[in-house]
Amino acid sequence: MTRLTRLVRRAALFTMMIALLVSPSFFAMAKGKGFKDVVKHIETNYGAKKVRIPFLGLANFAVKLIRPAGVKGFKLAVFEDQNFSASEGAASFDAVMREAYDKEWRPMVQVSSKRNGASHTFIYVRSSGKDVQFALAVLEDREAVVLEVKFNPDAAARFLENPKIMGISLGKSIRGNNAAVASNARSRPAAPNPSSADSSQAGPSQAADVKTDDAKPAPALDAASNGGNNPPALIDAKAEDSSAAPAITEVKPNLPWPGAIRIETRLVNLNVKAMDKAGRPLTDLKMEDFVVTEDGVKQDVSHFKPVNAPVNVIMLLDLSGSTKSKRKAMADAARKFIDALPAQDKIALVAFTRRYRALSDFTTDKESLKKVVEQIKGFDGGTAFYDSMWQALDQLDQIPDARKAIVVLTDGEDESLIGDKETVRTFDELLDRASEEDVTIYPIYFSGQNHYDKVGLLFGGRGGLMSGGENRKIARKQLDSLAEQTGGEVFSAQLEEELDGAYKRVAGELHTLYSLAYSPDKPKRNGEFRKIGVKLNREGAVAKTRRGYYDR
Amino acid sequence: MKPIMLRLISIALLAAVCGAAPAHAQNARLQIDHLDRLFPKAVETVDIRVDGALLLMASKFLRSDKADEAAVKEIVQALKGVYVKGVEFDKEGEFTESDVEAVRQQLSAPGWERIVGVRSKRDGENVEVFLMINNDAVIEGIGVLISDPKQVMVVNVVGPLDPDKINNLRGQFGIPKDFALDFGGAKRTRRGAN
Repeated sequence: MTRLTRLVRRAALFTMMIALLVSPSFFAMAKGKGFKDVVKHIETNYGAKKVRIPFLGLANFAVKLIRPAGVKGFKLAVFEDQNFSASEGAASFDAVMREAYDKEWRPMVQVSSKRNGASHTFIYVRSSGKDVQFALAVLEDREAVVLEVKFNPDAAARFLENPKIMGISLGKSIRGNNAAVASNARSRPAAPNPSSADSSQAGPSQAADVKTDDAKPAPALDAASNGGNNPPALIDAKAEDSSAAPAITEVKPNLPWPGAIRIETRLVNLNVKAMDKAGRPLTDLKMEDFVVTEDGVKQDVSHFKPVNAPVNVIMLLDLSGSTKSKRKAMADAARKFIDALPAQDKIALVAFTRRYRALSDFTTDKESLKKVVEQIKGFDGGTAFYDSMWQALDQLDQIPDARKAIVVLTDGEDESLIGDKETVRTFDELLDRASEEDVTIYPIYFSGQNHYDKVGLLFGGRGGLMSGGENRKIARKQLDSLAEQTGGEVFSAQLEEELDGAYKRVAGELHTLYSLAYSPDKPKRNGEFRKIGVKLNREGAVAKTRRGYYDR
Repeated sequence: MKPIMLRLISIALLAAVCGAAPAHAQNARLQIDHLDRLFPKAVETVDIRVDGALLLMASKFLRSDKADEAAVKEIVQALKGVYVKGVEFDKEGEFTESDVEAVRQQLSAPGWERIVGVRSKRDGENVEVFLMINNDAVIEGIGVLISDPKQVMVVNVVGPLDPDKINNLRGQFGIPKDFALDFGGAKRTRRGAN
């Protein structure tokens, strides 16, 4: 008797459990007769028979029980190898669908084709509380499928994020790695195809009246400011091979059919520093004050941004072993630099040793950045200066705005100078690329000595003045070249306590730059170097910008 | 119909590339249901109606923590609807000019401005792209009208579509990395107004 009672209890409990699990979705699904009616219509109108799908009932039960990916239930009918090419057209089948799926359902997609064998696709949708139901009916010549699915979009989104069924993980996110990983290694866009059109094109018998006053695509420097304040996250991007970005901006919609309209505008972006006779920055200039030439031919400046426009800055810190004892001073100076920049400037903090380590993405959130600065204390390693600069250029390539700068604090000596270690990029490659980009580079040459070191330096040690500081000289020269070719300037901090001042000067310097853009008047794309010249319509005033670009 | 869809997508891109005049605040949803009557005779038909609720639901599948997806999500969440209606016939004369004119009339109402017009004398194809932009430089609606002697296609995207947010999609979905939209920002004044 006890055994029987226990059995009955168990059976009752099991039944209740199943009922509880299944009932909401079951009743919800059972309410609408849409599926039933459509299947019935196909069966009676076309004399079709459903394909028997083994374990379909069991699968449906399992779905109702487990609710994988937020799916709460489904109904499926498949018809194969039967003739659906009867006279009934999409319109009449649509009437059947509309009747079957009552007013709570909304038609979402209806695509029909009578070519190459008829094909009709209908999708209806219905919201029921937090759930959504989709009804899909596809009719083709020989096949038909009717499917009704009910699912919870929130649960489905969660599943995509963290695929789990009954607590069992199915692996990583279906949508990819969630970690805030930003690979900064990005291949350089392919060189423009010389055969592609250079300007607006239309087919031979086509007339295009694209409005020209507004239709001209704005250059990168006109990009809207990215106001988002992404909280900094530790981003560790591995040094990988990548190549430089083109010197010119291209707007080339990828239109896939022949004879399509193609609007392609090439823009050359320039960051220009203007100074008076005494070398003082001029900050009140207007677009008409600039005269830009390319290979000696005057160009029309189409876009202009004043000195106070926001700048995207990568703050690159050399955290090689030689700077380890100076980290506190470096961190203090970095924080002051962050504070010194205007609120709208976006800063990305990056450290490098042998590896390029993005500590934060571009952000205007200064407080978060200052917290990230704390992380620099733990780093140690070699000095892959060229490769890291290359990657910083890669990272800036992803920023559409043209006002970009790298402020790099380094003792300047790449590993390839010191020993026999090879780097992916040579200095010449880096310089070539830097001189073509619209990125201004401000190196802060930090020998990182304290007074005690300085005394020692006189008599020997690495790069000591008495022991031949050739590497130091080369490194310093390289920093000068990078700054010169990009319109920037080298600042020097021999002592720790000079760092603050150097950063302060860079902060001031960043907002002495104007941004200009022009469309080259005669695009040739023959790979030749195009020399850029900028003059100012003010007596004695001098402009400084990158020297040119390769027209690839 | 497939090439038409490709064209539409590209035309929409072109629409984004181009600027337009500001518009008065009004409904950017086009009435295109009258084209349904052409369906029975057509060899190809497309009818897509994705309203705001559906777009909102679809946006749940986009992540907020990835910059590219977040940008799309923001755009999708704000959209009020995407509507496409198209018919294509085997022979000419299956629809009348009034069918097309009914749409064009709506698109010539105040607020809409035609920014792209392509006329092909060879095959009689007309492609027109219209934008409705409000005084805050936000696109309230996009209307694309394609017609030739054998087909009519209307695409209607009901905004808001903020150019700044579209700019955030650069480098994705075929939008060039250096592409930029600038309708003058929030401070833009209406043309003619001061």
